[in-house]
Amino acid sequence: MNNVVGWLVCLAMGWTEPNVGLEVAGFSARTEGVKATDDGIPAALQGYATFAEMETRLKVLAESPWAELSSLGETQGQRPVWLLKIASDPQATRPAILVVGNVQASHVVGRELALRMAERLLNAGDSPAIEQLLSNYTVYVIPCPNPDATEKNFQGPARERNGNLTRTDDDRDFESGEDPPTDLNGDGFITMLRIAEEFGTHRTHPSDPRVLIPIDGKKNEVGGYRLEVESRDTDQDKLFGEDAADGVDFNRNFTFNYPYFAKGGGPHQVSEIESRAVADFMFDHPNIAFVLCFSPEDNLYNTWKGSSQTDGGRIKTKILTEDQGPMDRLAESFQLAHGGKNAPESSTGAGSFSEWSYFHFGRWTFASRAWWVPTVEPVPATEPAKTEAVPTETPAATESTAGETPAAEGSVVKSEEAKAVEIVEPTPTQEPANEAAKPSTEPALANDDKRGMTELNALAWFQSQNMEAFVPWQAIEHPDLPGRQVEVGGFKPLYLLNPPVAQIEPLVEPHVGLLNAMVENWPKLAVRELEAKRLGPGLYDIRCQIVNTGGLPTMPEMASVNGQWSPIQVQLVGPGKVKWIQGSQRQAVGRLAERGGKTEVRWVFQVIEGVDAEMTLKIQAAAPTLHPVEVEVPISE
Amino acid sequence: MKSLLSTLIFVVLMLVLSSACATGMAQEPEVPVHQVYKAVGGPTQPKVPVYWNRYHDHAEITKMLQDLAAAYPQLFKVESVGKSTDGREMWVATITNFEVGEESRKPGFWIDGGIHANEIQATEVALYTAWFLAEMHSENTFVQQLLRDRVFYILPDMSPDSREAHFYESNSTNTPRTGQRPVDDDRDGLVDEDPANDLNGDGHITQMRIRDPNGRFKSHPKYPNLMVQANMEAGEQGEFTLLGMEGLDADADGRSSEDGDGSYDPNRDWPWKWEPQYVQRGAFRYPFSLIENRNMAEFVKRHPNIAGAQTYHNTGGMLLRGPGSKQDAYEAGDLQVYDQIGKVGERLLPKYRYMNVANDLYEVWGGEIDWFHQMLGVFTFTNELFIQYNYFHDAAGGGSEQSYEFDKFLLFGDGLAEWVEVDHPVYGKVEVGGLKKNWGRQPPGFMLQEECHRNMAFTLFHADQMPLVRIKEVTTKPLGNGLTEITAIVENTKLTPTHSSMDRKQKITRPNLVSLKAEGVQVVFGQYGSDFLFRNATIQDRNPDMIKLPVIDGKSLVYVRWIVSGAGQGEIVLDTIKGGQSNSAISVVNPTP
Repeated sequence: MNNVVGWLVCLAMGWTEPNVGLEVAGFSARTEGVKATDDGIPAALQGYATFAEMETRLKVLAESPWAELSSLGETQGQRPVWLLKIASDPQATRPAILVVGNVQASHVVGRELALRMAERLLNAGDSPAIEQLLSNYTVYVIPCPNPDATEKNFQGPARERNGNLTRTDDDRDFESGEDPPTDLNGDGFITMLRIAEEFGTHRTHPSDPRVLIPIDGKKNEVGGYRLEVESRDTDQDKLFGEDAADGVDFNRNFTFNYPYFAKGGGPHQVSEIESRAVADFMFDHPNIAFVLCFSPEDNLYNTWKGSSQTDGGRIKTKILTEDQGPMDRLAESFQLAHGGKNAPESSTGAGSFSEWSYFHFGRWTFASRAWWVPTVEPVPATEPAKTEAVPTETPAATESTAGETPAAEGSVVKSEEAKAVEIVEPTPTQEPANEAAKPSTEPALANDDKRGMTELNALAWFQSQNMEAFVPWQAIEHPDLPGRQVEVGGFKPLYLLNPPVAQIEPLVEPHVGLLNAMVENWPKLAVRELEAKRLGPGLYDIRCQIVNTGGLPTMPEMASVNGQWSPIQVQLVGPGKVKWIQGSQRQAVGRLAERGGKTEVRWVFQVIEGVDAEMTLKIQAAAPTLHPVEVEVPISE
Repeated sequence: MKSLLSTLIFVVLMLVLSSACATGMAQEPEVPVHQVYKAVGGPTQPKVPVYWNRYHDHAEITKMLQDLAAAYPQLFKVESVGKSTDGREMWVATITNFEVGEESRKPGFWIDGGIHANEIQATEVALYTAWFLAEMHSENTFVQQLLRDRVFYILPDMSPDSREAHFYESNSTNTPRTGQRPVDDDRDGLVDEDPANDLNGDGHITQMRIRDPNGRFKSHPKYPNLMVQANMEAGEQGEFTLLGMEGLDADADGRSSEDGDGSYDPNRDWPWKWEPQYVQRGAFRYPFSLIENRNMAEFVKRHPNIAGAQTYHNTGGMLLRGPGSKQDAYEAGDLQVYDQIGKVGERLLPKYRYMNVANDLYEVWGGEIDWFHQMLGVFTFTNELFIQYNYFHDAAGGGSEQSYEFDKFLLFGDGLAEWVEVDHPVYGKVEVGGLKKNWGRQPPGFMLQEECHRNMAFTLFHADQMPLVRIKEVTTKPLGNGLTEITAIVENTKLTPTHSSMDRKQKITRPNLVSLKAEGVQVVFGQYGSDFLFRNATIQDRNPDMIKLPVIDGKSLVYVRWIVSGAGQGEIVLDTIKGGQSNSAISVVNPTP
């Protein structure tokens, strides 16, 4: 599994020339492009809003009396980090939700979804739920926290790019950008190189030789290929495309689990204009209770897990178990609305925005991948590729193995090509029935061997959609590997992260639904069991319970640990000049559990001046993330 | 290019400024401190006279630095690294012999003080060092050599707003440690609404006590102003209950003085092993979220020639090195360097202890010196100035009793605010009194100069031990067939390596370069090693005419060897970022084949 992820990471990291300009021509065609088109926008992003188009849409939205558009700061590329504030009264300070678009720049669908959520919220005459949301809460939307990095993805040749314009030395060799990925076959895509190599790290997948899988040393496999990103070795250091001066990645620049000295991490935490702008905005807005961001490092399907053991550490690195229940409940309701199955596994990278938002900023935080290549049923029945010489194995052979035994390695018809490659010795675990048959070099994988499944499924799905998302392997003369057998090919960048634009709209509702679920569960203050007594002339004893009647605790447990949350302030209003015998006029109350979590507040005081008969007393309870309550205090003798 | 231009503009500006200052300032100081009989170890006739038995506010610091720049334009420049929260300039002095070599290519030594503003003598030690280097230059060969080969960057006041607050507002010896950026410490929506209050208006935030026949505290028998616990078990009777620092509860939330100015710790704001405030009290939002530190860090990052650093704090008499966290470690090779320098420090600063922050003091996450060492690769000490040993030169750490004894017999009561009665709105009649803000963590005037001088001496030793490289020897040997072997021995004459181990591990500073540049000569082979036999040598295949040396260790040699063809004249250039440069002429005579 790790190896598969490794291969995906190779693809996802992406590479191209540094110093490409950032101007992007306006786009016209909304067709599902299959090639990098004339406007230079990579095929995968055809139809996605460019930065300029996003601004246009934001400015249209800002004309609504329920919206207010402002900039949190201007990046090195002179692009504002836009903030759209949405509420029935944008001037009011109310409990709030923050929606942040593509915290990973290449996950452009995140920006598109944040924008469309804003559009949905502001065009929701039909939805009482949304009206209720915007009448009582504020939704802040930062659709694109890293506009310079995002815009690089709209540039050809296509490559997934997550860094901003800060000039970096990605391989820390004291030269910057000296060996960037290069579009060697001139097709507009940075894909991969597969280099034939005697002891290579990869081999072809028996079901589809377009797919390379890492060899499994335990199975005594021999690889025939090495994989590199499509690039030259400009600096002749035997490393390929290792330094594109890719800039600092917003999603690797935060303080939690910060990746020191690592590619994309930047010189230090929160070093960039845009990360500072977003972090400062959040610190300056204690009314934010929930954060929803978009990132392939999802925690709505791959929910965070903690344990009582990890709860105990001084430095918290796993979600606190107290917070896991509430987070899981909201995630489940989201999954139900979203309907996606078989979400890809994901872990969260070092220095990520979403983990910072929970662990260091202390908010309920969700990160949504929103989309992934759907599973094609039945699981990959790829027809043998036409383009290349393929070992002619029949998928049927795989199925034919009897009983509970996994598909055997030796059940493949040998091909002409297979003879050219070294023979793999049968492993001791093989069934006796197969002992006689000398295994081919391309035996089918065991059923439980998941190597390459993700890619096979993606190929099948793209084919079902008539999308050309894969560049067939094509031999090239590599200038730095003279005389070697080198091919260029692989998945086109951005396709595995971003859906075709026509498939985005259905993703809006589940995310708006998640906001509604937050509202339904929002912690709520109530004053209960109020008792007020006059103990003697001018001497009063007032006590009450401050209760949370909402479906979520008043703050995550993480917030009470890290202190980044404003406590509930409970105040007795109106007693005039008094001597406090017990309690003080204002008292801070910490975290209250959901549905009935409560704490007692008590005041005993003696009135020093004024006629106490005329006194009107009120109890107020408030916190920036909660709606305030106020009750009058009826005094009994 | 841009920075060069701005440097030029700056230099021109400074020249204009300094000539303006020079005319305003008498060339002969107004109060010449002329010594008929020189007291050794200090300048005979300083052009900028300074009393080193007193403390300086922001205006005085500014004037002192500008006067020194005007008096010694060939040695001393002043610029601001930026403005503080409240708009004060943060001055940094650049001190070197500007007439010899290029400032930015000399190994640089960084000194700062006063990041904790209440630790005020930290600033004086830094200022004294700047003053001493300039004033002593004309009459001391060690200083001349130091300023010829090295450059000092001295930022005496890292937290200028709070230093001013300590001087001019009511405070204790412990405040303000924070800067002046407003922070809602108690997160109640109100900012800095419940500070400490100077109830008797004497400028000092002292202690509050209330008379209580059942209290746990009583007066010390010898020093009645000192509160000590009554020994109840032995039948002693208490007289007072202590109520903490002088303060009210201005925001009526039941807690006194919980939200004063700032309340973050500027020395928990640095990126290495930074942790938020639930782990590390005092951490602010994220590393460099404080403008003062960001200003300073930008300057330091523009000066990769900085090879050693010193920060000053108080108190307790310590020479501290990192790491600050027990989960962190310094590379073994680096610790050896620290040990050698630290041991000397213990000698120069009697009773100071050379210690590690995490294991010998307490854990610090996100401290300045860890940033210097672990992220920039720079050897850095923090000195915790002032040690109670100085009171009576007996056992260190004498506690409150010794402070009161010292106050009685050597300060004649000047360090104490006598208890006086005031009305407190909550507690009624209370008394306030105790140590004044200028006594406790700071040396009294008569001890200040010695503290400045001894700590400077340690720092100058460290600065002198920054790497200093030279080409020691070059030999050529004909190999026949038109080939010549050239061997250069390069040397680092000081204790500190050109690259700390951490620097090499994290690839922070580019390698040292040894280039052979001679027209008509082609380098066909290049290698380097640690002995003249080139056992375990490293061969460099790419660009062998420019050999990259990952490090030249302290007090050691590296042997570089080329085989060349052709003939010609040229030079060998040794170029390092943190250890200086050196050249040597070379002549290759084409041997007859």
